[in-house]
Amino acid sequence: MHSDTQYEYLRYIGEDAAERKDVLNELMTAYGKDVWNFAFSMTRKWDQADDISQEVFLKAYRNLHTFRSESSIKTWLLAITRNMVLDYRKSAFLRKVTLVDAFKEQASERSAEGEVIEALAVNDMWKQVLELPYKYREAMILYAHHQMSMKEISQLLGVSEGTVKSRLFHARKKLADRKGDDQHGPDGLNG
Amino acid sequence: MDPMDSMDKKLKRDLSGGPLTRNGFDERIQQRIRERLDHRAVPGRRSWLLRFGGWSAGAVAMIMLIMAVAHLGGGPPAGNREQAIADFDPAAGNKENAGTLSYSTESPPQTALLIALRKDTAGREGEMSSAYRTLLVTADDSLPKKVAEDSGILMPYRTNFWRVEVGRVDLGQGEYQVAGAYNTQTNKKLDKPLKLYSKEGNPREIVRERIDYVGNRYIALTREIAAPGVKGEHDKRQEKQETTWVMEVSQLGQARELGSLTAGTEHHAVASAGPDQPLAAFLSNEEDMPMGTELIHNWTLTRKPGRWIAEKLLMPGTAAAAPLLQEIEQELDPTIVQHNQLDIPWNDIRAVEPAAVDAYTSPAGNLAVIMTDRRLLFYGMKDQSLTNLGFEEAVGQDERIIMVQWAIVPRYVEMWKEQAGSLLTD
Repeated sequence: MHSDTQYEYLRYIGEDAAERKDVLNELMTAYGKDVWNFAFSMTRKWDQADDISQEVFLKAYRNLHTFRSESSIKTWLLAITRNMVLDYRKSAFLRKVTLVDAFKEQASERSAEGEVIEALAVNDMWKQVLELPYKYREAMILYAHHQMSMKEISQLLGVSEGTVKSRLFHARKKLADRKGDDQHGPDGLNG
Repeated sequence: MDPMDSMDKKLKRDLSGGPLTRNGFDERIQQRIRERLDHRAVPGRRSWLLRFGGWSAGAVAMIMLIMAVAHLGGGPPAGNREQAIADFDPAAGNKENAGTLSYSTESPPQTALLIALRKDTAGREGEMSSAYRTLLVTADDSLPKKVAEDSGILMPYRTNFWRVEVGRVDLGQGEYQVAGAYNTQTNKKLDKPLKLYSKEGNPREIVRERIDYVGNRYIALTREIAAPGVKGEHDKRQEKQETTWVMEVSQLGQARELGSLTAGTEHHAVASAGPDQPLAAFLSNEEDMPMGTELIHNWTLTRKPGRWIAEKLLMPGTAAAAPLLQEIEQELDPTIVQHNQLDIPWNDIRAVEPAAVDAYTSPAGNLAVIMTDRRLLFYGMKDQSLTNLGFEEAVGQDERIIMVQWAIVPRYVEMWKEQAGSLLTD
């Protein structure tokens, strides 16, 4: 449907605003859901996913000419998304450490996030993956949802392939441990 | 099969789709991105530096201004200028800023209060309709009394009073219930105060708005978008979505475009939650939105006993459930809510009115409003204690307060009595 090779011309794109907007619309149609879902999966917050996905496409629009077809356009957008998420996490951390009542805030945030996920997650597996620690969740989503190779994941995360494998191992273990705790039966992880 | 392979197979199968059943990247977000492209200059690295430089210069200027104000004994906060009619008298310096401590003790305290309520009623088809009313109450050294009352909302804004209305607009094919506002000084008794148009035909969706909060220059509203029923009428069984928005009253005074309402792309006030700063609001079409802060597009103001709080929308409401809101645990900037405090301890209020569920006190310290499930009680007040009951007003079970605006400067109290009193009795 949207082959990445069709975006090779981006490196030659000029300053024509109409042309750039056409490309942006095309990217939003093809990858908007991927970007928003990745942002939501990493932040677990609806409004932050809204904000981040907007910033991602605005940034992509401004930097269309920097795209190199060595990576796929989707990987490029996910990399921008990840950087935006990290920026948000940093600013959220700074905000939390300045609050006296930080523990209370964290507790209420968790509760509200949990309600959205509980109400809207497509299945139990997603619910469990969304509860994984950040680094394991990130690796698992890139691997199992986006079905990226170890090499692609390692390049996107800026870590070695060994580190990616290690994170995936721990992610699987946590999911399996949870499965053992929950005893979900035949539809569980080992089914 | 290797257990790990089996597990990976299941993981890839179960995670093949997105995490949620609802699409977050909808037309609303795409439209916002396009609008921001149109409204915002493309910032390069240099502009980041310039922005930072600008912020630094602004911060230095602000610090100097604060120091100068402190040295001179205070001046009006810049954000309060729109409330001139209520709180600031240039001739009298900053004594009239809404804080209780700054009120002059040389003359007896005076208060004029505009308080608006919304009553929700379920119709035969299950659809909700809302009715609004506004009361003008005054108090000086005698007990509070009701001066006037009228249906609708009358709010003080800048140096005038504005009518805020929610009404039905018929565009030929569909009927829409939307909010609008007009300046009573420049528009006398408008026959059609609600200005709604459509650029591209009439959307089939049903649009219903209701007002949740009115204060200073902001209006918080809930917008319901629903698919029409068989006869083109609202059907509660149809899929519907409720989102919350905050807008400036002047925005509601302009003609509104139906398509941008249904797409959620109309200009609105965005809450900015920065570290160590009170929650402030900016217009969504402003070029220089604050950076390094969380920007919240869908938010509202609700009431906790004794104070207003801001809440952000986590998940739009549906036919089956109300919108999911989360409190933004930050102090509200006075440009959003002024005098957001209760000057009488709750125990003292409940000692007098055990059924009290909420209460408000005048910045002038001479009037308290206590709300129970059935009544609004207007008490006199002195030295942060209740004196005697001035009068009481019956309220319905489905009635809630959406606006409480105070005037305590004597000449504005008089102006409110005359102008607002007249507008509410015409």
